[in-house]
Formats: sequence, structure tokens, C-alpha cells
Amino acid sequence: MANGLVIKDLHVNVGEREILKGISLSVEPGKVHAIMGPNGSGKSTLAHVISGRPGYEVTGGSVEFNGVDVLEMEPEERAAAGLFLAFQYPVEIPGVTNTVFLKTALNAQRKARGEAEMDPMAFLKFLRDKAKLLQLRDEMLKRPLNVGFSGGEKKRNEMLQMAVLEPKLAILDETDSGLDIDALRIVAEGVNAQRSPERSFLVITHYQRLLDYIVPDVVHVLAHGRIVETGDADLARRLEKTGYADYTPAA
Amino acid sequence: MSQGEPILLQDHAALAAALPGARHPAVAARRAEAADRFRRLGLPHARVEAWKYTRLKDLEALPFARAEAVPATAVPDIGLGAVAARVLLVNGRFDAAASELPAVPGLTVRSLKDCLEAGDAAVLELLDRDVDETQAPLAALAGAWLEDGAVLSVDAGVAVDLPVEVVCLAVPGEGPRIAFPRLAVMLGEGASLTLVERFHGPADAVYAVDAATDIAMGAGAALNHYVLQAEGAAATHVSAARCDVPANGRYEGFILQLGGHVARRETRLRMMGAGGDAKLNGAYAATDDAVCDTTTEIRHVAAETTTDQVFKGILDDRSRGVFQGRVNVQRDAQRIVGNQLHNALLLSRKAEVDCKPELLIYADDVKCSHGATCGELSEEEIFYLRSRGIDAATARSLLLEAFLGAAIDLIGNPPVKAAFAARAAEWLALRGVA
Ligand SMILES: Nc1ncnc2c1ncn2[C@@H]1O[C@H](COP(=O)(O)OP(=O)(O)O)[C@@H](O)[C@H]1O
Ligand SMILES: [Mg+2]
Repeated sequence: MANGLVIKDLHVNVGEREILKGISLSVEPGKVHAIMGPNGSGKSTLAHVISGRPGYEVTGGSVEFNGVDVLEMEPEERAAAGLFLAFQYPVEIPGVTNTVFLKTALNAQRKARGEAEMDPMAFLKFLRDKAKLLQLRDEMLKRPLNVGFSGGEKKRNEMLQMAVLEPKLAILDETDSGLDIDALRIVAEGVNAQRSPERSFLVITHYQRLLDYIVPDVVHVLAHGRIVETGDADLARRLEKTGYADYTPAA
Repeated sequence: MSQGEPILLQDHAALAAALPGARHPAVAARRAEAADRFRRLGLPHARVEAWKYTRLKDLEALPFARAEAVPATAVPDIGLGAVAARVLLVNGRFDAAASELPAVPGLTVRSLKDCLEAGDAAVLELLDRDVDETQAPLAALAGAWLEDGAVLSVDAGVAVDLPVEVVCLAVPGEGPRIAFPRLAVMLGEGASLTLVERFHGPADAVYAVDAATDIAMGAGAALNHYVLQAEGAAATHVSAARCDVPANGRYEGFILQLGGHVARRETRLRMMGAGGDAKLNGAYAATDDAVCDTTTEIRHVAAETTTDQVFKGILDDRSRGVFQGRVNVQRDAQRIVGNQLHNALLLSRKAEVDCKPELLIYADDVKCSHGATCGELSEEEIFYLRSRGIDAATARSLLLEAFLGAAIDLIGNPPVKAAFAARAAEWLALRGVA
């Protein structure tokens, strides 16, 4: 059932505190949805819960991907099923090179899906081509994962991982924050190059700027753990002018 | 046997008379003196500062006897590839038949037994090297039973390209046995050598190894000295290396400790001349109730010498890691650099690490640093890997390999680096540490 991501009335706690207070959202294959909202509204929490990060308690609702209950799956199973999260804060892993990491990840996913592992030489060429597209130097592929990368390089490296792993649904958590305009354009081009009728995106951003380059089909505003408004790309432009001041917490 | 004679010296006087070179007064006196010293010191106890964290419980509790001369059993291969020579010491005794000793110009390999029989003064002098013997009861015990081992010499100016391996193999007998492998290495001026010293024994037998390596280097000589301690899980291992690094000499050491019930490797370096450089790095991992001790003592005697140490350890279950690193900078040792780093990863609540860095600086123009950390595997890193499709166990083992790899990568010799990395990875996989 290729109906994409379907979230119904999702409630999530961190400790005693309810962070997500009933989120419903459907992202169909091929679509780009944007989630905008003030800091602390729960955007990253939503992204983390979808990808299976420990530390969150789902107290109600459901998340399905192509008809399968995502919340029952391990994080690595979600990845193999085609979910991908570009982290707001990519993690540095000393001692594991970018190349080894990506090869291990890709082959693990292929194995989980019952596909053959990629030939090492073919993989290297595939990886280099993708890196070139994102203007990442070959040398960075040999470096330990994200170690010593600038903020912009880390974000582009997330996009490289997305390009290599070819997910069905990619969640970009503030991939634009901290990027200068050139880096932003490179990231947007990377995303646009990946757009296809089968692949969907959930683009989380605080600013409208990124959405000039990645034009969304649907825009949601998340505030205080609820989706308070849904519209088209114009909604993002309007928010750029008015800000989030209108969305005061519910009583 | 006199009243209160330590069981480890049982029948020493009678047996020593039949040991190699006993007819040379210098050799006989050395053994007798060492035996006296051991009688005085006994096994290390907690009141001896240098042994505060490591007790040789099995040596205390069980009736250990000197290991017999026996034939070699199979020697584990670590995939080093071509070597200049492979010396096999079985229970400390030079096994010429099982060794590979091709003629290599400028390299001489002898048995210590032959050198003792001949009363070789240079070898005896090297074995007698001034150490802080009051802290070294195990050196005294080994000295009392001095019998055999290997003596490697490289002529001045000769670079031996391929590594020389010295494999210390423990072959236990009936009941607990202790062996005393002994290695002497002499490099002429400007000579260079890559030495791989490794220790192996059966997984389940209770045995002990009390080993020592003494190294003499001529000016400008270079030694790569790599140690793999892969004793069986019930073994007691104590070994010590001593090296004086001369002017413009270069020492690169690496210690990989993956075995033993109680294991301790000591390295004592003295930086004797300007331009001398030493790197002493290592990695270790322990599970169950094992104790793994790395003790280093670096003495900057001369000015303009540099030393650098990086050690990484992984402790699982109820295991305990000990790192004692002393850097002593003497009054005249100006403009030296001495760095030291120890990082431990604890994988279980019951695992423990005792880390004791010591900087003793008597000169005023020096650059010294030491750092020590002790942490757990990062949940954040594990999740990052899992979110890309890597399962939890693989993610953990990638991170553990990377942790030890940060030290192993410092090995300058590529085949040794690859062999040690593979050995560490295999160990982690086998022990299910991930
Ligand atoms: N692990 C956590 N522990 C405590 N509070 C958390 C945790 N994660 C998120 N929160 C809280 O949840 C709220 C939403 O955070 P987040 O999802 O990061 O917001 P956004 O990404 O929209 O800025 C914030 O108030 C934040 O402090
Ligand atoms: Mg966020």
C-alpha cells in the first residue's frame, strides 16, 4: 500500500511533559510537505519520533508508512523501509570514515531488503558522483564522519547520505539553519535532484527562505505541539511577513 | 627447603646449579642475588605503591611451579605476512626447530641460553640494567630463574626491513605453571628494526608468564616495538620492557592487550640524548573479571627529547582497567615535550578503571600535558548509525573498533597496523562485547 506517511492524532511525551498534542498529517508519495513553526514547538520531536529515536513516549495515535506501523519498528528497520532523517545536529563519529559508514549503511539496508550488497568499486564510483553533485570534496569522504566538518559541510554531508541511501521519505530537520546562501542553494539543488513521483519530503524549517528553492506542495504550521494551520506555498510567504506571533499557546 | 621459602623459589639453590651458565660466577651470583631479592619482596602487595591497583591473585593463591621444557604447540598466525625472522619461545625456552631463522645480513638471532653458557658480557650487562628493583618483585623472580630466551642484535647502520617476530607461547603442564621468557635486543648505531613481540597461550589453562625485554640502542638507532598480549583468559601475565633511547634515537611502541585474567605490561623508557623521540601507544580490552594493567614510566634525562603516549581501553562486565603513566622530567631536561593521553570506555556498570597519571617535573622549560577520560558509548552516536540502517550490534561494534582504532591507527608499520586492527576487531566480535 504505497500511500506514504500517515500520522494520526499523535501524542508524545518527554518525561511527564506532553510535547506533541495530537498531530495528524499525511504525506503522499511524490509530495513535498513543509513544517514551519517557532522554536520549541515540537518539530524535531516529531522528526525524532518518526525515525525512532529513544527517549520519547508515544501516549496516543499512530504513525504508518505505506500501511506499516512505524512505531513498532527499530530505527534501522525504519531506515531499511525507506525513512530518512537529516539531523538538525548531525553527530560526529571519530574513527569511522564517511566512506565506511555509508557503505556499511547502504549494504545493511540492502541486506535487510533482501537485495545484494553493492560491489565495493561500484560503490566508490557511485559515492563520488553523488559527492560531486553536492560539491563535497573527495577528501571529505575519507575523513571521519562529520569530524572537523563546518556547520555547512555537516548539512551537505546529510544530503550526501540521503543521496546515497535513496530513501522513500526524507525528513529534513532545519537543514537550512546555519547555511549561507550558496550552501543553501547547493542543498536545495540536491533535494530537487532527488524529487520523483515515488519520493516524498518533509521539510522542517524555521524560515521561509529554503522554500523559495524547494517549493512545497503543502505547508503546515506547528505551534505548541499542534498543527495550527495548513496551506500551500503562499502560507510560507505570509509567515515570512507576520512571523509566528499570531500562534499563541492554547489556553 | 628452608622454613618459609616461597613456593615460587622451591628448590632454587639446587636447581640453579644446573641452569645455563651456572659455572660463571657472574651468572650464578646474579641468580642468587635475585632470589634473595624475591625472598625479601615477596609477591606484590597493596602497600607497594606501584602495585596498588593490581593484585596477582592467582599467583598468591595457587601452587605455581616452573614451567617444563616442552615441544611447541601450534602458533597462532596474526597475518603479518613476510618476516625477517620468527623466533619461538616455548615456556620461555628458545625453540630453534620451530623458529624461522633465515640468514639476514646484519641481523643475529641467538638463544639466551647459549649467551649465558658463553658468559657473554654484553648480554649480561644489558640484563643487569639499572631498574628500580625494589618495586619489581616479578623481575627478581624472573632473575632468580634466568634460563633462556632470545637475543637479537642488529649491526650498526643496518636497516632490517621486514619485522622480526618473537612469539612467547605458553604450553601448560599438570597444575599451574609459570614461565620466564626473556628477550634482549641490541641495535648498533643507526640500525633500525621492527620487532613484534607476542604472547599466546591456551584459553582455559591456569598459567603465568613473567617476561622481560631489555633493549639497548646505539645513537640514531630506530626501533618499532609492537606487543600483542593475547594470553588465555585464565592466565597471569606480567611483562616489562626497558629501553634507553639515545641521542637522535627513535622508539615507537605499541601495546595491544587483549588477554589474561590478570595482565600487566610495564614499559620504562629513558630519554638519554638530545633529539631522542619516543611514541608509546596502546589499546586494551577486557571482559568478565579480568584485570588489565598498563604501566608506563618515561624519564626525560636529557634536554630536547620528545615523548608522546596515547592509550585507549574498553572495559566490559566486571573487568578492571589500570593505567599508571609516570612522566619524570629531570632537572637538566630542558625544552622537552611529554604528552600523555588515556581514554577508557566502560560498557557495564560493574566495570571499572583506575587511572593514575603522574607528572614529575624538575626542569622549568618544558611542554608537558596529560589527559584522562572515562566514559560510555554515546547513545547519540548509536542512534545516528541506526537511523541509517545499521543494526544496534553492528553500530556498537563499529564504535568500539573506532575507539580502539584511534590508537591502533598510530602504528607506523602498515602490516602490523592491519594485523593488530584485525585482531582487535576479531576479539570484540568473539567476546560479543558489542
Ligand atoms: N529530550 C528532551 N528532554 C526534555 N525536553 C525536551 C526534549 N526534547 C524536546 N524537549 C522539549 O520539547 C519541546 C519541543 O522541542 P523540539 O521538538 O526540539 O522543538 P523544535 O524542533 O520545534 O524547536 C521544547 O520545549 C523542548 O525543550
Ligand atoms: Mg528542532
